[in-house]
Amino acid sequence: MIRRLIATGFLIASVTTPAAAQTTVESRSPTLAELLQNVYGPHGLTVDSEAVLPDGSTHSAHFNGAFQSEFERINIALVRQLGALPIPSPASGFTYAFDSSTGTFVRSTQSFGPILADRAETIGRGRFAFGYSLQQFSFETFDGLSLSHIPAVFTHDDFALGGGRADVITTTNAITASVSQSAFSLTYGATERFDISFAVPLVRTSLSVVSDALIHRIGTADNPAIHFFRDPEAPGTYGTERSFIAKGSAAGIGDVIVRGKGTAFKTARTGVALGLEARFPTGQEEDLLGSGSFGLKAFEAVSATYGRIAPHVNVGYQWNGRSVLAGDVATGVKGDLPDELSYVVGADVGVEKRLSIAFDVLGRYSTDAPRLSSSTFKPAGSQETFQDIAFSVGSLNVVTGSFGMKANIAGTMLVTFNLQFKLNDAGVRAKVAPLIGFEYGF
Amino acid sequence: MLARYRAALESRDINALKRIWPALSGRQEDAIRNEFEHSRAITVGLEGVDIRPAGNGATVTCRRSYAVTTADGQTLRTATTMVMTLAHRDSAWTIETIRHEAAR
Repeated sequence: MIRRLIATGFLIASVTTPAAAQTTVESRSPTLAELLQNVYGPHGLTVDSEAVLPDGSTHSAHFNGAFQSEFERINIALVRQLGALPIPSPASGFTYAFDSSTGTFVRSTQSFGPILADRAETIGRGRFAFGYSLQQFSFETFDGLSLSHIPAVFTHDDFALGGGRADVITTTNAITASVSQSAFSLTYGATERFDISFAVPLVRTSLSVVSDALIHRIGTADNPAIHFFRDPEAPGTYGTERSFIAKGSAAGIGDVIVRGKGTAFKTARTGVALGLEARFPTGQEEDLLGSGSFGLKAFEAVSATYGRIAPHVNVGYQWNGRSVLAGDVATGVKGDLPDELSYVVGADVGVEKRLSIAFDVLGRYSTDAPRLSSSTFKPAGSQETFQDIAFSVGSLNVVTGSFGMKANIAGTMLVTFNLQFKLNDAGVRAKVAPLIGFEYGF
Repeated sequence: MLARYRAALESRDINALKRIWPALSGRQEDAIRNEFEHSRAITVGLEGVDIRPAGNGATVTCRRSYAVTTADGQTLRTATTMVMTLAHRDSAWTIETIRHEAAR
């Protein structure tokens, strides 16, 4: 397994910018899943202080915010994308029916099948289909909020006590998150009406965050030495701004998928298939390469053919086990990864002999997913309000559109191009996610 | 004639087929030509042959079992009742039409 996390161990290095009196701190995280949690270093967001406590020790001011404590929930959302692994529909479009008017067999479907969905046809006894796909996700929003501008407020320990504890730190956070996934799949027709598929994804996940922090001295306006950011290049000054940077990436094998699909009902034009898909936690969840839990998905695929048009509907339900991504990566405590209902409605259309297009609406629904919303924070005794974020747990319905094409370039070789685009704002989303792939039947 | 018809199909030779079936044209020719191009093998069985002379020709009825191995490895099979009309001109037999019906 190829796996390399750029950031290992806790290490804090400071780079200063003397003129602006703003320091930049780059922190490193032991795992990619903990990167957001560790952006301010192992002790969280603390500021410098020259205030001396009654016991003679120096005041160590720690500030808390949902961004640091809860934003790692984005990990779940990122990894959920990996579960949407497209195994090329192995019927591959090459299905035939006898035409008595010519005495020959002709292609019964003029299209080469769906791209991100299944149809009821199976591959046929003794046949193989090999597929490869490469997908790229560059995430831009989380529940509609731009990942390049997430405002978050940090409050002092025991801030409700007021006084110096009324100071707040506002942060503006820019998160860059991307996942690229190469998937190899092999399908074998065990019988005329039953296929077995095996898919191995290779995943690369990159994550970075730049958090610009600003101290608001609401309770310590007359004494800047209580809460400040020290600048080694400008001793004696009491800075109010600091940038925290964390970044990392990891690559390796993702969650392996094994799937069985059988045609339960078939007529000349329509068919119904039932299937079971098992996802094994072979991807390192700490590096956001896999879900960290076993998953089992039961699904149904209904498809029909009307000349050049072949509509299809898929419905599936995925049970997920427990994963540290839903719990606490640092302590290894696992939590329940949300189950998911998935659905696809779409059609594939034969444009001409060697080209077909496919379009779909894909949905994924879960009832207990992490949700993000914007809020405002108004400190007691202050006229100012600050933009903040809040987390909750609620239902999530991620709806995505998909449009692509399959071209038969030679023999039974199909080349696939596809674009996924978001149709709503729910979840962690990329505006457009391209896919390129090929499949070969033999 | 039936042997030459079977041999033309099994060798996937459209020219050999057109020599015995000169009227083959249009959609039917395109379909057969396409099948020849996209198959690895064709096997033809002709059984229960019934020949009935009619004027300057004859009508041949038989059961045709037909198996095609496609380029992507699928083996497709069908059995039909084939009705072939033959013409006899200039001391040579040629196929005029071929019709397929569900096997009886």
